[in-house]
Amino acid sequence: MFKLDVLINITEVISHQCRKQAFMKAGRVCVCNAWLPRSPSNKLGGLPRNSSAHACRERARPEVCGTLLLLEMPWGCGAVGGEQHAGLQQLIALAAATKSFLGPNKSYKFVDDQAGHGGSFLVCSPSRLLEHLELSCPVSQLLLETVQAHQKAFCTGAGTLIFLAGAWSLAALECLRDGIPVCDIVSALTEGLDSCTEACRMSCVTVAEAIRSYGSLKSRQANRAHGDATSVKVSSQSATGSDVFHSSSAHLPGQAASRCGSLRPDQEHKALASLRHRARLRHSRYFNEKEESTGAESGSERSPRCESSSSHLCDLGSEDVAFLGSTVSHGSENLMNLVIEASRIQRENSEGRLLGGTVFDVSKLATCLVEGLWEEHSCVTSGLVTFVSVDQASLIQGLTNQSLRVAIFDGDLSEKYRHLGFRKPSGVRRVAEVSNAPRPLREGGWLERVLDTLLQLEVNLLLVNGVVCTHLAELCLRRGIAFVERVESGVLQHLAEATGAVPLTYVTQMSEHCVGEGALVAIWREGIGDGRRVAVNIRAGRSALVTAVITSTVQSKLRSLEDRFWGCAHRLHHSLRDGKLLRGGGEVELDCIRHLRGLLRDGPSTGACGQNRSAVLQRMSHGWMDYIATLLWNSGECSSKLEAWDACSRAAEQQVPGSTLPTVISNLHPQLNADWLEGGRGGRSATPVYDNMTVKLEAWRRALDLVLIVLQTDMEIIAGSSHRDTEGLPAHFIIL
Amino acid sequence: MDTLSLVEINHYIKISVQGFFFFGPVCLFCPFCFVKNQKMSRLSKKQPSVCTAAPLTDSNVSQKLAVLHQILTSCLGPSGRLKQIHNDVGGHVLTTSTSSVLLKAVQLSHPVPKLLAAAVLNHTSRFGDCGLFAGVLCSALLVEARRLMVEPPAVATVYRQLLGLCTTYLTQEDCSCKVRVEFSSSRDLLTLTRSVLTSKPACMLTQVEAEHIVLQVVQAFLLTVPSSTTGRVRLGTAVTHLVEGQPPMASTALVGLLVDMPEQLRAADVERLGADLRVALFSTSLAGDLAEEGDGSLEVHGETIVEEAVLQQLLELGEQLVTDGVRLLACQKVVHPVLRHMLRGRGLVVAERLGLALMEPFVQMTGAQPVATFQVAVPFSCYGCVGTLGVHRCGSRELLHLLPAGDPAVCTLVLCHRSETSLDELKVTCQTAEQVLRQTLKEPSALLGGGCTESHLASYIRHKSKTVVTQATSDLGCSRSDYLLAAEGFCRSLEATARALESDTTVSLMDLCHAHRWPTSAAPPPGVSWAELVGSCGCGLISGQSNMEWTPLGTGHEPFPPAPLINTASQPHVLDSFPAKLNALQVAVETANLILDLKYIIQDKNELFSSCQSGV
Repeated sequence: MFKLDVLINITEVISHQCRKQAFMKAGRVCVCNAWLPRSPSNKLGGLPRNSSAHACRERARPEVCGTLLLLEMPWGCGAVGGEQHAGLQQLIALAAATKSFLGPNKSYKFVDDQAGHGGSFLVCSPSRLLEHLELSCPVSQLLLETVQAHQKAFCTGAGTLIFLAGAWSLAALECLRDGIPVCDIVSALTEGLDSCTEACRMSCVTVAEAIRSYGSLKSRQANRAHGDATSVKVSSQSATGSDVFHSSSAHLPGQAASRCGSLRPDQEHKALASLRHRARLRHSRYFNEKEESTGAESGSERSPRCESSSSHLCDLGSEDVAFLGSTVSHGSENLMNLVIEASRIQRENSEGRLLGGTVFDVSKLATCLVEGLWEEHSCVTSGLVTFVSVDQASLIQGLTNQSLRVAIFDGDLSEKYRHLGFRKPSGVRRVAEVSNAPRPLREGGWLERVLDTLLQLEVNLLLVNGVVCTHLAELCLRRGIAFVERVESGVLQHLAEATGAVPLTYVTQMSEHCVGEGALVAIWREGIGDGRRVAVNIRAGRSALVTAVITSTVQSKLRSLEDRFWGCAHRLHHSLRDGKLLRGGGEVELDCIRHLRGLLRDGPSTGACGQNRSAVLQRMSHGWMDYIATLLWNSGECSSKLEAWDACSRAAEQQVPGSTLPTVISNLHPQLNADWLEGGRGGRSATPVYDNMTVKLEAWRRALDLVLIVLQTDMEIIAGSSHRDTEGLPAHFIIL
Repeated sequence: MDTLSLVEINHYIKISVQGFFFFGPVCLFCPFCFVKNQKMSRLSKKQPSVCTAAPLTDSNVSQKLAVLHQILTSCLGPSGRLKQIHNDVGGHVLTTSTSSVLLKAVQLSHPVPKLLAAAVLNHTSRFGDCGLFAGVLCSALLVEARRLMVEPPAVATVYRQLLGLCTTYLTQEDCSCKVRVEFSSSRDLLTLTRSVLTSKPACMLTQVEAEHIVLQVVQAFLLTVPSSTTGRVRLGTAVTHLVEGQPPMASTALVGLLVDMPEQLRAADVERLGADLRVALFSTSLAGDLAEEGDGSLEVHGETIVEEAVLQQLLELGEQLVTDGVRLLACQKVVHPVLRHMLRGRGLVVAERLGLALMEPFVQMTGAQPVATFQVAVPFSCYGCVGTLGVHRCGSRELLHLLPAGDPAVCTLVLCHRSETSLDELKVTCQTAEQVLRQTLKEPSALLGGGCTESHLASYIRHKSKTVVTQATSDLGCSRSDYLLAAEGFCRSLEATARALESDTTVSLMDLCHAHRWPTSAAPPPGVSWAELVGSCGCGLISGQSNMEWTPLGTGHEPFPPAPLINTASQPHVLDSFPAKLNALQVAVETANLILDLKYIIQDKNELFSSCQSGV
């Protein structure tokens, strides 16, 4: 109830509010930029698949119109007020550059430094692309920081992060243009993501179930091929019962021989029954296990993996690991095969002993890049593969098949090397007491002592983190002591543990118990490397260290192959660690879209608040649609982006969970379906595709955090500029 | 703004008796002497100093103050906006809405905003919270003073008197906007911490995560309260350990300290060490170099090699430690690998690179005295005692966990977040929360948050100034109209700070009974009365009732004494720290007075540190 005499002042308050809003948004921004989609029907952007990143760099700074005044002041800091849309636009432009990295078929990009300073780089992953671009806007720094933090934690999933950051920035930008206030956008987006994350956790698949379902599917296929009556009954039960496994059951090419042994029908029946039972319990909120926070391993005890919920993972056979790897390979099958092979070798070397509770230890993996061979020559070897000089190689050849005593050093092996943290005293003046006394040769003395120590302890092999000084190298060569330089410290640790050696910094520390035993060396393969270097293999006892040798005839491609290898390795590692998987190939995003639509239906729709929420959630789901459409288009399942969008919208409208993208796509073009499959290009393979749960949910969360930070930033302050810098400023800068 | 020569400056100095001067670096030499440019060793003619009279009337200055006001206002509250600060040459980008971080990073050039920023920074370094409130109130007072047709010194005296009234009201026992903090339950502590944490949107925490972190912060604070009350009781320390890349739910509060895990120490070995281990602490570098040489030179006689001699001394020290039964050697800096190797072989654990920040808590926890040299035998009394060692795992890293023997009040707060920006903001916010909780121990009161205290105080002052106007005008020597106008300006400034908490979708109303602030939707649906729309007031103490009346905050109304709340069972949801807010109020008013009293600004224009601006 208001008093009459204050009615006049309400307008002042409201106009103050509007002025404040106007000040905060500072007018409309028109951006005529081909990278930014304009209308809802054409959300694709004009990005061709193989565009050069250089063009993207040019577009990363769109024009902004602000409305503040300029004042003449000598120096200080400049304040840019007004639009925070500039930040969102920058995010959208940056994300547009990485769209082609989504999906199994990644296209390479060249980053070319036109100024001629840095040369060109061939990149195949979005994080590498961002690293090589010279980005100067502050939002790009934030994006780079987010992506690098995600890469450091998970080593995979950066493409999803960047894509969704761009898509949701676009959603936020459109909402702002429609006049929806920022706090409504923030709350609606947060609510949408929280609820979708919960829904995804509910509908995840455990690794064991995935393997079992695939095993049952294989046996079903095999039985169906034989026309067994009982199997038909089993298959009908499985079709209704197991709704947790949505594979592409519509079109399956002829099966290869099933690697997982087919179960007997009654065993399978029990397995399916338990599956159904467990599925039912999971969907209940009350009986769901308390989920730990994603990716966190807090607590002061280190709980071995076996004691947690996925205890059955320790029993995975190698075929199961191979199957799991193929589901999360995401297009890099060859590299994933290397990872699976590495896991098999690790398992063999440990003789069934559990390696810290898992079947695959990613920390004991190393890579060696060899150029000049075809990619098919990539392989995996137990132990360390590295390059040594030709002289060393001949020495090592002589030491093959002998159990060697090894000494390990971190740091350089030279007289001048000092450990990290040591400050050499400057200003040392030497006062000679006897003027004619000859100065002993220090260098020779040190060399003699080192050699004596090594010979006394019968050391055959030296592994050094740094380099060995040339004089010592010659002496060692003459005395038949082999050495390997530039070994990574992690690898040194593993070899030290395996041989019983103690890593040392100085030779003076050496004693009998520091020397390890049981090291084996061999020339790895003849004719590898250029004339100056030879590849050798160093193995040690029961070490689980495995090196993947990655080869390519194109030298610039080696780094990208190595990145993709690590991506595969970490995806397998995360799926084993989580014990849970999300259905891949766009299925889980489709579930999120359906869930958001459910929220829209059930939630409040009247009033400004409800309408704003609906608009924001709708645009959020558009972001996921864009993701799926880009994925389908990149992987070749649809011939155009428009068709991909169409398929996506149809699949999202259908409420039955069994109707998946492949069925919808095949329904769109039934005659083309056979062509796609036979051509082998695109189309879905028989193996189902899964994603890591932790990686995906964390990528979504980090993308949204980034978008919200940029959305809630309304001012950019440039500190420390001097008078020269402020002369050419555009008109919307204020100087403090 | 006019350039004056020194003669004229002297003239002005003589005629203005009162008033404060703000001096830049003034050169009192003859303007024709030369200044040697330090960077480029050129001689250039010395520029005379520039004197600006009556700075507040200058539109330049008022524009800058307005911008600063806008920046600080937009940062206030949970719906505040963030600011990005960078230096445009590819350096680090800072995204924050905290006043201490923001004002330190922004380099202001003009003396008046610089004064304001310095005052706010001083306040936050002591009290932590309410820095933005101080900045917003101070700039609002200046804006109001400029708007009035009253002489600035008169306005300043009135402000001073009103500040006295505020302080008296707030410090009296039965102040209606003060709440007594109960230590029998953790509810008030949690509310205080929650208010601090949720006011910073850059922390990027969901509700669940925010609750978890609030719990950990309060737990860490309670761990620093010593349980023994004998002797001199002092609060312990809470060390913050930052972990980037983990979700915030992995944050935790632990008793004891965390250090980097020594190389080649396995978890199994740690368990075998047992309990009650003797510990030696070194503050000097044991890396084999001589730290004390400074800039002097070393004279070496004969064939001695310095490094070997030092290493020999280190090894003798190691032998002594082994003989004395020390089990843990902790060093602030680096330990020589040979010494490390030797001690490891004899069963000692060597923890190096502790850092300066960890030394004081280490001393507090173990009772060890830091030894500053390795060349003399370590006295037995310097050893300390640590309880047990454990391993704390956070993500993929392992840390050595030192648990105290006995009950010293040292704990570690492990803070995790996904990105560096959010982690930095979270760290600053948690440190502010800890400061707030410590101040509450000294002064167990809190003020109602959410803008309710400001609106309450504004209506109180509005009412009180009318009653004491006669007395005040005779005391202060100003006219009645001046007094009333200045008082109105003071109240409007307070209301402006309360309104700064509004977001895009809310407006503030004030009720005409208790004078609390009520945030309401700015675009109400038609046909719904305001009584139905308002839920509860900003602090959560009162909920809307049908017999209440509201008016938009900041509009004129009849002054009324705000009624105290009686027999209320509800608890406020948002609390502000009482000492911090009171001091912020005082700092704001006193800084505004200082700026209002400025008559001249004298700035030295000789750019001694710039290489190209020395004009001839």
